[in-house]
Amino acid sequence: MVDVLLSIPGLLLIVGALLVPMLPHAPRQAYMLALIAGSGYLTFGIETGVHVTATLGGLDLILVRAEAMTKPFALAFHLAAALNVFYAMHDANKSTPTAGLAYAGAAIAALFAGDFLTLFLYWELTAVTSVFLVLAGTGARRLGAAMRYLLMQVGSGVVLLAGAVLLWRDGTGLTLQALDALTPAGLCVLLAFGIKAAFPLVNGWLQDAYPEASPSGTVMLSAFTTKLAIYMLAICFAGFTPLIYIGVAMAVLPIFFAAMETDLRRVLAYSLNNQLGFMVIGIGIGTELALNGTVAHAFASTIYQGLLFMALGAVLHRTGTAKATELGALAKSMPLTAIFCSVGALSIISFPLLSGFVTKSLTLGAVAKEGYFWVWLAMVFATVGAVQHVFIKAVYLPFFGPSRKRLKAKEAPLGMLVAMGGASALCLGIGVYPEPLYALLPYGARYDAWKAGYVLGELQLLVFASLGFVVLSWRGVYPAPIDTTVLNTDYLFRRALPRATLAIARPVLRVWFVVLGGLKRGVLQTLKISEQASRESGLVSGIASIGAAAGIFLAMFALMLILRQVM
Amino acid sequence: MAKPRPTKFTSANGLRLLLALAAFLLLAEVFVHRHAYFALEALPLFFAAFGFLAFLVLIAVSWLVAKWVTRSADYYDTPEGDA
Repeated sequence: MVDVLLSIPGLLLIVGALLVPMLPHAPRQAYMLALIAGSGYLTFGIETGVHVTATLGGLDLILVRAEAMTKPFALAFHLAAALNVFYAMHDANKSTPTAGLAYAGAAIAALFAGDFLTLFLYWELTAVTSVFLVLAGTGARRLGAAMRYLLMQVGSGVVLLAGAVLLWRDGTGLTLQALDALTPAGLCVLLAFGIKAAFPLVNGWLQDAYPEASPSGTVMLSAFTTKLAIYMLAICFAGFTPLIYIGVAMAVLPIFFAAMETDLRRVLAYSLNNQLGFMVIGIGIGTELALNGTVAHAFASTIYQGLLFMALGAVLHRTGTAKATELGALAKSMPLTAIFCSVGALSIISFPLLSGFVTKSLTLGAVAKEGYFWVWLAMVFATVGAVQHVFIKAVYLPFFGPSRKRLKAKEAPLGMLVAMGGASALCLGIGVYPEPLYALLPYGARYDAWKAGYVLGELQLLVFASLGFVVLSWRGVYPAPIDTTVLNTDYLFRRALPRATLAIARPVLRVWFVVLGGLKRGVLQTLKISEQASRESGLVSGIASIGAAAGIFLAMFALMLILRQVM
Repeated sequence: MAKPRPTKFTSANGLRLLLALAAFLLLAEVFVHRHAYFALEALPLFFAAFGFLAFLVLIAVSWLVAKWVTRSADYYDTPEGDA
């Protein structure tokens, strides 16, 4: 029993989470950190290859298998899980840490799944554990958002299972390996991964649900689901060219939505989508350098995206709002949060000496080397987008911009500061000394970002984009934030689809009610006639039994019709 | 919908600092060779010009699209269509 618990990565966290709600506050924190440290230690020792197999009803399952790129993802997940414990330490709520720990465990276990059935199990487990994080939010909209989130997540799992069944039927086997996307099975699997990676058109759940969770819930959510999907795409579909253009759409489209959005945690959810685009482009390119870029970027972005969600979560925790319309000049009351948030923002816009710079340069370099000019240009444009919606909108204006409202804010609680400090240190560490991260990457391919020319180009891009903001704001044409709902792709199933369904259903129902009304009148008429016929002087009055039988028969007929209508 | 109120978001000193930095980066272009993969990228001051223009385009496009895709803040809070 203990053997199984220790041999399957992540299982320790999933099973261990069951004990979390029973412990008092302080021991609970120590217990969770110890579990994560233990799990990290066990996981990090796993060498590439197949380790644990099982047979279930004639199916060969691979419960534990490590690929070359499993280790960096597993390490990022453990780091995120540990930082999240510190971040949520101030909170007496027990459901968030319980769900969060099981969710982290499920995501880690999924990384090591070697077949589609095992993956399906953990894939769904990440869905049903993480939905509690959305439910733990405080807003009135969280219930609907949580249900829509669950629908998409579980739906993704169902499509994955369909893909697995098709693979099994085709005789390809259930092993998790490179797939041909242009087969029914391949398309199912691609769609399943695509939903969780927030591909265009199926991205709505991300911006819908993540900002509705509690501050610590959103931080936990931002780390695992999407990066797990990126990992799986890299395993199964590396080099599938259409992914390049899907990735471009993911990198570019969200930046316009982020520019319009007011809720800053929702802005970050768009930003997360934009970052995933860079990773999907790398997977589509599929060269060793590009895949290294995807893995490195996934690692770094787990940390800096988490850091940004942490900082704005801290703002929400202290001020009760994360809306751009209400925040300003917070650096005075929350100086440390402001510094950490700036580190996250500078990382995401790939400022030299921070993590995003070294990791994004790998993918950019790979795209340039393969000669995809327009893809490269779109990625540079997407970086300008990140300057606008993260650096200026989500960090500069709320922390250093003019104060908008008299907000009573205090510096974030100690646990939050420790988590943000740790994440900032990682961003800086990777940026200054990327060698340990490079050593973890699946391939030997490198890109030297530290050429003076490259650094200069990057700095010019960032500074002149910021200058664009300054010019617009001094001319008075930089749009001030306004509180609105920005329609996203979840509009499709929240409004468009119901409307279309009703447009078809209304005329059908109208006809149905006319027919039903006619039938009802017919039955009543029949009953009336039979009643008259059964009277003293009526048609069947002479033979009592026939009259009764006819009456009962007619009554049953009427009952049936009425029941049909009710049901 | 309320009309966006234009605001100046930067102090004069902040602006001076940014302008100094921009001037420095333009000047550095003279001394630093940028290795380029694409012809366009090799043009002098490509990144400076692209960064500045891309920012303006981004704001202009999202301002235009906003008219089309934004609704009142409580748009989804009112159930619709089941009448």
